[in-house]
Parts: sequence; structure tokens; C-alpha cells
Amino acid sequence: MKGGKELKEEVQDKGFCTLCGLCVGRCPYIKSLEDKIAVVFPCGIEEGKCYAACPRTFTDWDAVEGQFLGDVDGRDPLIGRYTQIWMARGTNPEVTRGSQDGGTVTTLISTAMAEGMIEGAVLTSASDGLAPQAALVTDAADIGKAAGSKYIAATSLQALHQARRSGLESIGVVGRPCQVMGVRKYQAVVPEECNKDRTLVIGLFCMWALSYGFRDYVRQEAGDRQVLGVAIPKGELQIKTTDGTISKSVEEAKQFTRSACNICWDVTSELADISVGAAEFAEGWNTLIVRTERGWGLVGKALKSGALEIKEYPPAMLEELRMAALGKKRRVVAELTRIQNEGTSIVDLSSPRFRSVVEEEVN
Amino acid sequence: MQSVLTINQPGTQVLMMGNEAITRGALEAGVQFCSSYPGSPSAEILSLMAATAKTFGHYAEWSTNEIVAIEAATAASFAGLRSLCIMKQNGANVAADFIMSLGLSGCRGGLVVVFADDPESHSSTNEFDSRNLARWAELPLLEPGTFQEAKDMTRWAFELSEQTQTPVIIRSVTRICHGRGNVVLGDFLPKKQANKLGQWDKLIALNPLHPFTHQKLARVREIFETSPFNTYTGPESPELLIITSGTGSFYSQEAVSRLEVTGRVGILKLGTTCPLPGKLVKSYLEKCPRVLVVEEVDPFLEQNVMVLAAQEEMLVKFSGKASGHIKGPGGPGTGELNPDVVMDGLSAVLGVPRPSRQDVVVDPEKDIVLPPRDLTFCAGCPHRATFFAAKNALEIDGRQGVVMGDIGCYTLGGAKAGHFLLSSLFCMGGGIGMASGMGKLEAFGFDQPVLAMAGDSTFFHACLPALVNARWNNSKMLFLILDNEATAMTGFQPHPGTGQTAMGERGVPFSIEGICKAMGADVHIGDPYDVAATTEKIYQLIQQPGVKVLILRRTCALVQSRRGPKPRVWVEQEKCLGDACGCGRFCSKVFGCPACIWDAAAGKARIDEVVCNGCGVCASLCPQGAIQIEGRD
Repeated sequence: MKGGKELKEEVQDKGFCTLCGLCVGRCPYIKSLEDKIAVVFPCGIEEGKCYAACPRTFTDWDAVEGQFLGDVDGRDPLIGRYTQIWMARGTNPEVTRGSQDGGTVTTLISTAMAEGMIEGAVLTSASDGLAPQAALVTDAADIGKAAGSKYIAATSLQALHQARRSGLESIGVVGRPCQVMGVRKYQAVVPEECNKDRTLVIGLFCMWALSYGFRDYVRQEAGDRQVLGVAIPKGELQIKTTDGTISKSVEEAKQFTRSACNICWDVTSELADISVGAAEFAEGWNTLIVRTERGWGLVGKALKSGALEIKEYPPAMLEELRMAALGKKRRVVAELTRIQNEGTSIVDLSSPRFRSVVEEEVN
Repeated sequence: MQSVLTINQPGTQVLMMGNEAITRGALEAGVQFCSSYPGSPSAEILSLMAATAKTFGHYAEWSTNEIVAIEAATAASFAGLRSLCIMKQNGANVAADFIMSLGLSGCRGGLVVVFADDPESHSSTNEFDSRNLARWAELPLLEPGTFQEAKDMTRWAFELSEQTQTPVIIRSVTRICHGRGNVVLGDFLPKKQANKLGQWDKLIALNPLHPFTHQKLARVREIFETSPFNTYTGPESPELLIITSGTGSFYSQEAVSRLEVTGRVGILKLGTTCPLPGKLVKSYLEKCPRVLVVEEVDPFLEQNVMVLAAQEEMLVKFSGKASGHIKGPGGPGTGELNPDVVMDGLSAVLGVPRPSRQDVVVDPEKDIVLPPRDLTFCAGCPHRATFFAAKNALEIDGRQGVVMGDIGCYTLGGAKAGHFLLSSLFCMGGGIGMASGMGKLEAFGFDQPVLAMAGDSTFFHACLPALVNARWNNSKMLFLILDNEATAMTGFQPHPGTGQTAMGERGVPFSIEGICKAMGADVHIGDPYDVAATTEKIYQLIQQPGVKVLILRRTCALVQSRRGPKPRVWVEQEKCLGDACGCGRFCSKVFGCPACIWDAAAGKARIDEVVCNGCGVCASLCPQGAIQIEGRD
């Protein structure tokens, strides 16, 4: 029995909002600009979909996973249920231009659209390479404009409502783990607005997202030079400008980590159909995790057409990925425990899912 | 076409609005120069003067503000012409710096200044009693109590002004300005030519002239002693003497009649109230030392008569505002008078029972009961969209930005229609002046964004010095100029930005952005109907240092609706979510345009197409895209 008022009090005012954007655009009472979302007016509705679908209100992880990935064998306590993991990259340089690593996400979305699996895609673009915006793409030619990592959080999911109102029947969504959870909760709460059988969810790996303060920092560092883009490979912050690249420690960027990221349990978008991240051990390649049948259907098409190539994922590297996830999960459980002691519970910490990482039962 | 202003048949009786009567009085007097800044309740006078300018050959102008208006009118007087200047009570304050010197300088051609007060502030922010300013400035004061007097006093005021070489103040009030009554017309006096000013013709306000001011006032007082505008009705030796002026005379007559005390109470109605005709008043005090003073708003006459009684060592029992007998719901010295207020006081003083107030008993079964109405913007008003965008921008920003308000239609944004966004409200130009100061408080820990709002006419009237100040002192603030291309609140009068003059000539249209840029401000222009872009622009500008100006330009919806067919807006009800989550009657409940109504039978939104002016902003806000618009460019 909670709505916009409680969304403001329990999520936004506490700094838990991930800027997924799901509550924006569905509802005229909630507005967003840059890295801020506000419940501008009280709607007076006691049972709000915004509250129910928010990834930062109480979430029963086991139930959501059961609903959307219940039939997936092979549960990993650290990177979620999946069937396959590969190194992957796009093969067509026309498609992958502008991508961060192997261009796998761009390739998959392009394939999904070309194959008619989706009519449009909810993506994140950044015209200046820094300040990201939600982007609804319905023309394959525009997909490339959204390529590349954005380190600043964007309210991309607001485009999901734009897609629905535009009458798009099938839609692809690319998002951070919190956004993947947002989509899943939305599908659970209002299935008539976001049918799971007509939605393809590609999740990104994410350890943290940055606030708009990072944009101002980058601009200040660049001075008179125009910023072309930002990359954070292997602990280094690279600010690419019209007059060369400025190199800084990644710690400079991490000081702008959003507080909401400190309670994010999910590193690899465990509830997505497909998850994609960097493969830091091999330049120009991505890590590709296939979770659902729907996800495999798309990867299969991309392989068949030759748009995507894959190769075996080194077991040692998988272990490195899992340990990175474990480290983050342990920090997050400690933080979730702290806020629970202060009276806010957003997950059931007594579930084995959370207990196991702390009690070192995982291997 | 002949009108009550132009009929040249002396002795004819016509029905006239008070503002028409004042205009007619000036026309009969052969006025040649008229100036004003629009303000309720006197705005019609200059409009009528402008409309009759060609017929009578006089000049009429809307001036940039009231002090310029009085300066311009005084110049005409200096050249020997009869001139009229009109302003509401707030305007009198704006003009006060100059008016305070007019007693010293005096005038040449008849100079008549109309102060139109607004007791109970029907369309003002206050109910200042401008008679105090006349006394302070040491200028003769006339107070019409009937529509006939409104005409006759205006006409005579020019004569008095020339006879005594001093400007004359006429104090009207809302009920005189906007009420109607019978007026017998007079003839039109011939006009004079302007005098050539010689080297030693001076009009100077300097203190050595002060004794002459007093000599003039003494002469005026002598004239007032025998003025036909001061009348007495009642028994030879009344038990109680009502001394009244202005609207008080009608209310007093009605109260005396309804309490059936005509044989006991006399009414001394004064039309020439300052300087007080002491001998005349004293003669009535001698007949009856028991007095009830009835006047709007301040105890102005009351105190002057008290001083007279003390000076004359008379033992008079006074009732009125000081005694608490004449008081509205807000207490003595506040609000308008009416017959009930006077009856209350009169019955208490005389100890006679008063008839019941005849309160209207409402039968909700049979009678249509008018619901209480909020202060709001018209349908399609660009200001509603501006306030909505500003509210969104400030809430998203989250630092509790403060908006300094100003005087105009957008003042209504201080109420629910503008989401209670205004934090301050004073006078014309007061908002940007305050913002200029508030934008300098960062050093003291004040970290809220600072905004000011003002309309286009207000911008020219009173905002320029404060904008210079803000820029000069590098204040951090955003100035929103709500440019609806008219002086909308008072009836769409032109202003310097429109390029039209009062007499319909094409003048020089002033560029608001050009002026702001010349002052060195960072100037942006937006369309308030584009709510999303306006929201984003306001948000961006309050993140930045320095003086920012955002001109939000859209023609007043009422002006626009008169220019031709308006777009049709309607709701596709099958798309409307109504009360459900994701809408919750957003258009009617939150945006709140009077044309966005609720169809209770359907449980859906509806557009009242009669009220709607076709702006289409609601269509851009509807989350379902259920509101359709047809016929807009």
C-alpha cells in the first residue's frame, strides 16, 4: 500500500535511487533531468506502480529470479543463473565502431532488430561522450550512436514507456543490473505494459555508476580542450580530448560513485537474458553470459549470420570474474546489514543467497 | 458614433461609470494632455482619453510608469496646458518622489492628478489610503461621493488648480470608478494653446518656496469653506452628526434611512477634505457636539476633525474608527465600508436596535450554491505553463530554489495555480530587487537558487535599475521575464515592448532581450508552452553563476483568442487513465487549467471547449497522449 510519497521518502530521500528511470515517464508526477529524479507533485495514489516496480524498494530476489529464470539450470551464487559463458566480439567494424570493447551489445541489438525479434531498443546515448540520455532507437542505423560505455548513470528506462506509447510490440532493453531488476519487477507488477515474451533484456556488467559531478570534473580537467570521450581500462581513467588523452587514476573517477551503488548486490545483471561486460584480459573482446533460451536464440542468430564470433572463456578468467563479484557482494551485504539495522530492509538478508557470500560457503 | 463622452448637449442626463464621469469632467474642462500607467481601478480613464483624443484634439499616453506620467503631465502644465494624470494608489507611491515636490513648485496650466484607491484590495496588493499622500505633499484634495461629483469635481479641479497655481488631487475608490450612476452633462470649454517658455519661466521645487505653498493652501481652504461640494442634510439641530466623504455618504444615507433615524441624525458630506474647511465644519460641530465619522479606509477625516476640535477647544464626542464603531470584519481602518458596517456603528452610537443583516439563507436543495474559487490563471495562460515548468525545475534541482514575485497576472502564481511558488511579493519591480540582494548571500551560507519573476510591462516599469544593480554587483540569480506581449492584468494595454502607443500609433518596439544584453546579462529566450524545454532551461540556468535572464515569450491567451479561430483540444476518453496509477487526474488536478475538467459520469478527463483557448499544453503533459489538438500551427 505504498506510492509516490513513499518512493520519495524511502528511496530518493535516502540516496538509494539508482536512476534506472523506470518511474520516470510512466507517471506525470515524477520528473527527471541529468542525474536527478524528483516526485514533483504528490499523486495521492496509495498503491503506486512506481513503488512496486522500483529496484530499490523491498525486492524478493529469489521470487523474481524464480519467475524469470526459473527454468535455467546452472545457478552460480556469484554471477547468477546461466547456461553459457564465452568471449565474444562483433565482426562487422561498421557496426561496432564506437564500441568500448568487442561491440557485442551493439552487434546483438543490431541483429535482434534485423531479425525482427525487436521493433525498437531502449539504449543510452551520450552526444558529448559524457552526459548520457535515455534513447529509444527504432532505426538500426541509430544503434551505433548509443555504442560505448557511459560511466555516468542515466535514466534510460524512461524510454521503455516511450516505446510502449509509440505502439512498439517488442522491445530490447540494454541496462545496468539495477535497470535489469527494474524491468523484471515492472514485468511482474504490470505485465500488460511490459510483456516478458516480447522483451529482450541485455544486461551490462557494472561495479558502480558515477554522478554528474564526474562530468564537471572531466570538463574541468580538459579545460579549453573539447572532450571526445572517456574510457576506464584497467584502473586508468582516460579523458580523450581534441588535444590528446589525459591520463588519471580510476580512483579520481570513483570518488563520484553514486551512493545507491553501494547497496547494489548485482554485478553481472543476473536477471537478464544475456549479460555482457568487458573481457579485460583480452583487448577487443567482451565477456558474454547467456542466461535464457530467449538470450541464446539471439546469440545463435548473431553467430549464424556471422555478425558475432565467440571463443572459449578461460576458466581462470571466469574465476577472476567470480571473485570480483564476490568482493563486491560482500561489501554490499555489509552495507545492506548496516542499513537494515537502521530500519531499512530492501532485501531478505536471511535468504541463503545473501548469507552464503558472507559465510564463505561459496566456491 | 456619439457616446456619453462626446454628446454635446448640456443638461442631458446619462448613465455613466465613475471612470467615464471623471473622463467626461476632464473633457469638459478642455484637457489637453493625459498620462497614466494602467492600474485597477482607474485603467479605463486613460483608455477613454486615448479613444477620444482625435475627436477632441488632446494627447493621451500610456507612460512607462507613474512617476514618468506625472513628470510628463507636469511639463504640459508648465507650458500652460490643462493636464490630467491618473494612477492607482500603488502608482501614487511610485510617483511620490515627484509629487512630494509639486506642492513647492506649483503648476501653471491646470494639473489634476487622480488617485484611484482600492479599499479591500479587490485588484491590488494593499488598500493604502492615498489621501495621506495628498496631505503629506500639501496638495488640495477632492473626494467625489457620487458619479455626478466625479464629473463635476474633475472639471472644477482644473479651474481650482489654475486659480491657485497648485496641482489638485482627486481621490476616487473602486466603487466610484467602477460603479454607475446618473450624470447631468455640461458643455465643453475651449482649449488653449501652449505658452512659449521664456528664459525666466521656471518651475522649480526648492525649499525656500515652502512658505508660498502654505499661502496657497490657505487660499484653497478659503475656497473650500464655501464649496458646493460640501453639503448638509438633516435636522437643524441633530442629535448626532455624521461627517463623511466619498462612498461614505451613500452608505450613511442608507443606514440613517434603514434605522429610521432621519429626524435625529444629520449628515455633513465633505467633498473638499484637505485642507479641511475648518470654519464650515466648526459651524456644524457647534450645532451638534456628538460626531460619527464615516470614511474609507484610514481615519483621515476623523483625525483632521479631531485636531480642529482640539484647536477650537470644543468638547466633541467622537465615534468612528478610533472608537471602534466603524469597522469591517478586519477591524477599524481595514476593508471597504457598506451600509451594514455604517448601520452597526450608527445603531451602537445611538443605542437603537438595528434590523437583522438579512443574511441570505441558502437552501442547498433548491438554490445553486457557488463553490469557492481559487485565484487562478485563465485557460491557456502562458504563465500557468511557466509556473509549472519552474516548479518542475526547482523540484528536480532539489535545493529549494526561491522565487521572488512581482506585480501582474503572475502574482496569482503565489496561489495554488502557481504551486505556491512565490516567496515574496511587494511592489512593481520588487522581485528582481530582492533577488539581486538574495543572490549575494552565498558567503553567508545561503545556498538556495534565487529566481525573480516579472512581466513584460513590469520589466519596463520598474525592473531596469534592479537588473543593472544585479549585474553591477555580480549577483547570482535567474530573472524570468514572463513576456505575454501586453499589460494583461489591467486589460491588455500596450507597453514599450509592443511598439504601440495609447493613441494607436506605431511607436518603437523595445527589445527586452536587447536591453538585458546591453546590461551584460546572459540572455535566453524560450516558449513557455514548451514545458519540457522550459523546465530544462530553468534547471540549467540555476546551476550557473552570474545574472541570467530567461525571457518566456507567448502572447496572452486572451489576446491571442481574439485574433482568430482557436485550436480545438479534446480528450480521447478511451485513452485516458482517469484516476488510475500513472495519471490520477493529472490535467485537472495538478496542471489545473480551468478548461481541463473532470467528466464524473465517464470517470475520465474532459476539455471544456467553451473555456479552452487551445494552447495545447495539457496535451503535452498527458502521460497517455489522450489529449488531442487540432488546428494549431
